[in-house]
Amino acid sequence: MANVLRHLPELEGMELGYIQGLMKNMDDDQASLFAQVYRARRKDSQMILILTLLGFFGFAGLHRFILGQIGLGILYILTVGLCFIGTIVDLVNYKSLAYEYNVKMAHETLAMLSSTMPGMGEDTSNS
Amino acid sequence: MYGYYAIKNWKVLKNRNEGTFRHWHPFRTSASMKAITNRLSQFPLELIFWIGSIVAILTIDPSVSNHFTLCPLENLGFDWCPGCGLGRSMNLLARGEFQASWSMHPLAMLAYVVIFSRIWNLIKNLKTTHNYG
Repeated sequence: MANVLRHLPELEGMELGYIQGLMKNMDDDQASLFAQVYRARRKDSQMILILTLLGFFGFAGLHRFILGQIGLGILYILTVGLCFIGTIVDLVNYKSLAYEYNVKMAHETLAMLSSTMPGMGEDTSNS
Repeated sequence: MYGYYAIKNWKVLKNRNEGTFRHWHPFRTSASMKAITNRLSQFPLELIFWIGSIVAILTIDPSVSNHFTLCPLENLGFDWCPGCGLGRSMNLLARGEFQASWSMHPLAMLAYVVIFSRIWNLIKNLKTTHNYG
């Protein structure tokens, strides 16, 4: 059982709880490797917030591109963030957007590491 | 304001006797606040937004010439932007008028595909990401 705060102290809130749940079955070596790879892949929610704010200056939807939702990004650019309504909704919602992306990245990281290191991240399919 | 009062009280209590410190914790007041913000963060705001936008698209009437618009650009007096007519085009497509829809805005089908795939993803995420551990 590795402590998430030792390896990824910058996490907070729901993401902290989720990653702690993933780290339950790792020892410290596996957890530090996981933390390195995951830190390189995760997106900070503040960056999402700033990119969303750029939507008020005409560059709407950059956060959707960064989060890998290309179709929605194109839709936002064409309609100036759905007439600014989409931009405002995403301003309220930026934390869950980042959280959703980070959970996806955590599972990708886990899958990648477990294919190279057997015994890593077993019994996490239920979470 | 209340936070300041709590901290002041906490110092007084701490100086008087340490025993009450355990029962009267200064940060306990934030527990209910935390519950509220937690529930807010789990509330699927984006899902409701997209479903509401689809409903709004389906209820507009594309044939009105001087239509009501939420678009701030048009209300400011700009008469063209790359998304102009997309909502009406999506509405026409839902009615089955493909020719009129294409001439209003050619990307209506793409918008439908994108929004519905996003709604599908959000519904899938409701199950997987909101109960961890």
